[in-house]
Amino acid sequence: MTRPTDDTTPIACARARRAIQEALDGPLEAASQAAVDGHVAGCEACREYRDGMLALSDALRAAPGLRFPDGALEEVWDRTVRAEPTPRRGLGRHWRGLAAAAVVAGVLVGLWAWVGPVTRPASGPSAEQLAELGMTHEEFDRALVEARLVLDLTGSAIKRTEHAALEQVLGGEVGPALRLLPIPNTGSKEPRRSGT
Amino acid sequence: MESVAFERRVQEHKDRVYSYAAWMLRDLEEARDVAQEALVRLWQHREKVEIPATRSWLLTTTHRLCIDRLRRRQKRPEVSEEEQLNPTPDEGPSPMRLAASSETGRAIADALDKLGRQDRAVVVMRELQGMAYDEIATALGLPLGTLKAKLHRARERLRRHLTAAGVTP
Repeated sequence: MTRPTDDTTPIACARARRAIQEALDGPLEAASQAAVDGHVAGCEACREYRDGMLALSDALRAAPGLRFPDGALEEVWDRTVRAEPTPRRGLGRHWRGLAAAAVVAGVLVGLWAWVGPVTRPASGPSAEQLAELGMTHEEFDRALVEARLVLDLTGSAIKRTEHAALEQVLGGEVGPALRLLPIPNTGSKEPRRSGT
Repeated sequence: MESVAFERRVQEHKDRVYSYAAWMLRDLEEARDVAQEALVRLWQHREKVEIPATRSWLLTTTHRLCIDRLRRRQKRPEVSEEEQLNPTPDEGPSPMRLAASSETGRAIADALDKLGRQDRAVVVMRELQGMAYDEIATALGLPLGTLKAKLHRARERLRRHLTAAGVTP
């Protein structure tokens, strides 16, 4: 049983009432709760205050709410989803399609060893450029194959603006390669290294 | 699908948005207009508003739309200077009082009507809509300490009104 305190000074009451309000928002720490309980046990005014606050919380649950009229909801649909019957072609949809293309490219990387390195034109990146990219010749060739295969596979189905977005998506891996030189035609499988 | 997700959000929050606007504007027709506008804006910003933040975003937007309406009301020439300084409820029972299904509900509606506009917003957002303190502080542009102090005083005023109405001890 909580022992009532003798302290019913205004400061003590103010402190207790503040804690009573805070308790409406969530449990108090054990020491604070014990202090409030002790004060309330010895202070009738604060006990009534606490009971009133608890009753208020209960009463607020009875506060009325309204139902949004169906007619008003129809107007909302008319101004929103019905106003744009075609699914919005946001960049989000592009990203999903391009992610699928990237997965295809990843699978095709596994064919790299079987396909062999591609022919690189004499204008290919220098060793310095590759060093800047942090890539070896083999990694560069592989990235080039990936880019070509992905673009070839999906190019016929992708419109021009989406093609540009695809390049951006893949930019993390093959973008640097694409920027350095145009996509060459597949030539001899013998690797040609540029002079270093 | 985008539209399906949006429709789900609207169904979940439409009544709370409408109710909030009605509490603030005390006029069902204006509350309907504001609620519609808030939901349309959610569609316009749907890619920026994450689903868990929908309630807070909608109530904040609704609140701001309500404030705009109230300011436009106060600028009408037929509104006296006294009313501009101390806006009073329209004559007659508020729509929320009419919507109450119990004596307690009616007493709550009357007590909330007697609060100042900002105090009413704080109480409705916290006690009726369950918003967190930081969400309310952001919505109303109040520091957290000020917000808590306002809520505490508003609760005490509500308690006094309800005690006077014989609803609470």
